[in-house]
Amino acid sequence: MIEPLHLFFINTVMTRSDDIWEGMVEHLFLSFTAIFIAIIIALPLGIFVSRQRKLADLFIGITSVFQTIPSLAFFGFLIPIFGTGTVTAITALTVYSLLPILRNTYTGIITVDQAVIEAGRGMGMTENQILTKIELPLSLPFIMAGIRTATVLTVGVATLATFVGAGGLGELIYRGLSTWNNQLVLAGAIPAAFLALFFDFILKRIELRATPKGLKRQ
Amino acid sequence: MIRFEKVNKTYDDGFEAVKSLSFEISKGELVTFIGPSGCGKTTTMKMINKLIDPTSGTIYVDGENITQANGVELRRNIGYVIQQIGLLPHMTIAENIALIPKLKGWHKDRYEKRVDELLDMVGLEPSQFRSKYPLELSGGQQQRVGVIRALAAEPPIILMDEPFSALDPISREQLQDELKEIQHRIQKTIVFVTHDIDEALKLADRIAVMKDGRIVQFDTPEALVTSPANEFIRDFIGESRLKEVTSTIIADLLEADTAIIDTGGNHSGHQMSPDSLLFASSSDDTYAGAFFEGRSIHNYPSILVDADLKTAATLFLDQKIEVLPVLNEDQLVGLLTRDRLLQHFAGLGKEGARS
Ligand SMILES: Nc1ncnc2c1ncn2[C@@H]1O[C@H](COP(=O)(O)OP(=O)(O)O)[C@@H](O)[C@H]1O
Ligand SMILES: [Mg+2]
Repeated sequence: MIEPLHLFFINTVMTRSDDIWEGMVEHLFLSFTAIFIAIIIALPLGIFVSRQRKLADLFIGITSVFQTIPSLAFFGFLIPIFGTGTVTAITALTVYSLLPILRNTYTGIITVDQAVIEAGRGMGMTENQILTKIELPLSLPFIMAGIRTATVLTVGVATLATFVGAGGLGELIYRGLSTWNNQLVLAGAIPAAFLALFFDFILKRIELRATPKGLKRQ
Repeated sequence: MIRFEKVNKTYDDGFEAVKSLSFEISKGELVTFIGPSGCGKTTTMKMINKLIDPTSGTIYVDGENITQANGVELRRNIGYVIQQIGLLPHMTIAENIALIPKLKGWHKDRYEKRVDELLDMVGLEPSQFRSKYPLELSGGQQQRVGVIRALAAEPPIILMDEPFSALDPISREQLQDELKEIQHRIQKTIVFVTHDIDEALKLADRIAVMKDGRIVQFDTPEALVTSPANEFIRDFIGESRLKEVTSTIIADLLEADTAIIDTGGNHSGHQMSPDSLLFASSSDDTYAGAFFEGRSIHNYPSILVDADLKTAATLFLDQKIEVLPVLNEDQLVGLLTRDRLLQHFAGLGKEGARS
């Protein structure tokens, strides 16, 4: 007798729950480490290029070039440099996260109303105070949107980490594919998709919270 | 208070925006800079608070050469109001006003009190406006906040770059009146850039007319209207206004509301309350002279009711007085204030534009 498909899937999830759980933890670890490093690099860089606009195109250009390289190929390029393992995976994911954060930080800052900055400077605010009291608060929604885009992207691309031996939910998918086990593929893919949607939702919430009160539609 | 000595500004692209500018503005004066777009008004103003550094020449603020001064420190003691207002949209009205006092380290009690006092001054009920955000206010209300924000830390100097130009005509006039009223009380040194001659005539103690980076004439409103230095100034002031100066007579603008009071003795007279000046007539209605706190003032000038505005302007100018008794032959018929005359000059441009 052939079992109905969904029962078969539930069965797979039950028996593989340890693997799924482990994959998820690895997946989150890889993604968030990468996002964290990307923020540390891209946020100050975005502020810097908003001050040196001639350099903005250059840096944003470089980060977009990386993004055009097919993900799998990029993981491959890094193996000769960092070998296989977590470091390679995190490096690749970090590079992928840079562009959205950099571009949004830059755009957020340069689109702040120049009159507000002019008034601030004219009243005697220092350049630092202009940055922390005017530019960053007003561009925070942009920056948060960049981090959200980067997070969704990274959680997706992290399924490829398994090819450089760094684990994650991609491992289940990969094993499922190589053994013609569709249920196993789904057991990896569905949690990965769920994670992406979940963080998209949460970060969207944070983004709305980050919008300064005076700018929200009344 | 502010002194320019042979100040030049050449921008990086080689454009000479300001050419060998020398002038002096005294403490408590409201000076307007006026001239066509691009003549260097904003450049001149921004050199006072070091937002722009001059290419050569020296600028003194309160006696001190500002070349070596720290720009941020300097600007904290100079109020700044711009056409685009530039309130911080993520901060409440109170936070906006208190921003510089806070940066200067004022205590909470002190700046909170100051915020309420300033809101009251421009007719914005503190309890209602304190915690609103700038975008919830009308343009006129926002610029009122812009003006009091500049006053907040009690700077002796205030710079205003076309502050009312973007407002609707009604708000603009209200804000002009309020500024005049505030200035009357606080007597700050104000540099006010405008391209509107009516506004300049209405507000200024003195007007600097600029063209191509130079000051063409720097004079009181009366002097500008009665003796324009050249064709450029004449054009700027407008023919209709210039004609009015010699064709209108005083009778047309007598203050209707100056009450005749009975002083109890054999004198009755017109009283100017703020200055406690009294202009008295004898029982047979002949003018008996001006009195200050009961004592007669010798040689206080007067003007005949059929004299022209130029004569009046010249008298205000030469005698440095605020009010003139107006006589019909030897009878006192009313008073003419300097404000009234300037308001009239300021109003003329608009009537001319309408016809
Ligand atoms: N940063 C700059 N670089 C080059 N030219 C400038 C700069 N700022 C102003 N100018 C030029 O200097 C002239 C005077 O400008 P400005 O002082 O702003 O005039 P105004 O305020 O009287 O309209 C204008 O012709 C303007 O184009
Ligand atoms: Mg200007």
